[in-house]
Amino acid sequence: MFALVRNIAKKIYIGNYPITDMEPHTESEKARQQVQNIVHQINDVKLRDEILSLIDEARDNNLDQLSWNRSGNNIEAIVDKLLLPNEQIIEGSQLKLAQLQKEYNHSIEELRIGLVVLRTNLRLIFVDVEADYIPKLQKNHSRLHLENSEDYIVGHSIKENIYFQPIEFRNLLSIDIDINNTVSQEYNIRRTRSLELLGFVVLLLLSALLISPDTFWGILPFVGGIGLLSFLMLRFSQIYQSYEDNQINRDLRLGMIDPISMNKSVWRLSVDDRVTLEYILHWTSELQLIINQHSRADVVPNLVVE
Amino acid sequence: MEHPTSNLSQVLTRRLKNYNLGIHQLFGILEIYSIFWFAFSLYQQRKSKETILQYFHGSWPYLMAPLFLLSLTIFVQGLIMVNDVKSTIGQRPYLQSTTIGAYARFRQVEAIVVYAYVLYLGMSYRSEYILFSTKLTENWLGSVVIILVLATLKIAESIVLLRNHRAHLNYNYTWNHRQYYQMMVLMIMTQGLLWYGFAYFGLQIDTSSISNFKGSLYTNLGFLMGILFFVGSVRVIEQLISVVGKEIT
Repeated sequence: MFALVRNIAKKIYIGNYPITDMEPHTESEKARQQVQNIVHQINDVKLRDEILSLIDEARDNNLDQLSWNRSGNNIEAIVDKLLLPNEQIIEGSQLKLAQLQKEYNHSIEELRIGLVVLRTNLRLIFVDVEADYIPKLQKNHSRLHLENSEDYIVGHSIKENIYFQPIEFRNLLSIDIDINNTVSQEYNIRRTRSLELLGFVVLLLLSALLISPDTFWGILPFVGGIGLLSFLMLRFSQIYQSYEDNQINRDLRLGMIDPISMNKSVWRLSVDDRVTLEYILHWTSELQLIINQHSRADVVPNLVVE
Repeated sequence: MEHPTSNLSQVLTRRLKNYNLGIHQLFGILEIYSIFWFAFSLYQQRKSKETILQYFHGSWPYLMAPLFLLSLTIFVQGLIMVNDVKSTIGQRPYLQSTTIGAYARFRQVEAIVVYAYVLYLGMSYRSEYILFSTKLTENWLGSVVIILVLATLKIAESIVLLRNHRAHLNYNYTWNHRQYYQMMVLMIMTQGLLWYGFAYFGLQIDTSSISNFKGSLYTNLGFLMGILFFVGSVRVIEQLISVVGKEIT
């Protein structure tokens, strides 16, 4: 549970990485948030720990069941078994996508979020593994329970969807790249009001004077000195907080003959922010070369994508 | 998210860059210094074998000056926290709650209580008679009342912090984040209890008879001194926790 809700560390995705390394899905995030909200309201630490360990137990059972459903195959094994006899995945050629939009006749027909493009010696393969880990915790509002008892329903479910779509190189027509960067920075500059402080220092000094002039002269150097120092420190303008915003959009547009409908279509591949530009350029240039070698655009001229 | 205490030097660098936090901690250190100074002044007084009033006449700064400084340093810390809360609502998760605002206000009230204490001692010294009684030995009664208020404030601060902690207990937080809160609450609660102890031993001086006054005074001043050293040490630990135990930005 703790591992699941922890934020995913910022990584740079180039070359090879596990294809199962997907972002948490919105639905799971929402469910986790709900669980957290209820958990916060439980004051009994023991009960809270018990509930969390029950969720963990349910999740482990889900994982066992899932593995049984897949006949023990993990995602990598499933992908391996779908490859053609002479087909091999080219090492270090994976591209992580934030989303994929399939456009037919300028309208979006299909949208997938968070997937991977693998390149083999024969095809481009789009793999989307969605695994929603959905914890469940809700208060049981049944009338039967005693007034002072706390009654909860605890559970966990996993929804998995594996999508595999290969595109033969000969069906690829063109590729273009669209890069948009928005970079902004804001500072919050602030000057603290220190009249309150000045008033307090004066109060201390006057009180000392009231007690005795000796006391006043005695404390003046340090109360006055430290008071003045803190007054100046607080008056000094300070950059309190800065905000940075860095939005990167790197879209690749693939013109192709859709392998299912055999119509011309455009697939917009929005590359994940964490993939370096250098890698995207390298990946694109390699694909351009492949398109030039394999494309059948020359034999089907009316299929050229706008 | 990087673990808050994964790299101590990184955390320290980031925290040193935070100007307000720097001032806050500078005044935290000054506060500790004034507590130790106050404790040391009680030690000097005990060593000199004079009554408090006699001692006051001879060496005024030893009891008054550290208290003036204590009041000022606490006030500045409260002021910084209040400003922090005002300007960071919605920006720092742990400051979103107004309970932290209440904590900051308590710090300011604490400064005023210490100020009341210094004023009380000062007026006693000036008039050479005690506000609540003319007997020198009963000088402590007023102090006890003020210190009881201070102790209660410290306990209230820890309760406020604890409530804030509960309100924001989130399983996204790392274990250290939770541990930090627990330690802070424990430290502030301990300070509250120590101030109660200070008031209790002060009361012992107050109730001691004239005949065995001196012996009792010396013994109890020793206790008071010891408690003050403890308060100072607990504040040192609290400062250390606040430096390394949490992430601000």
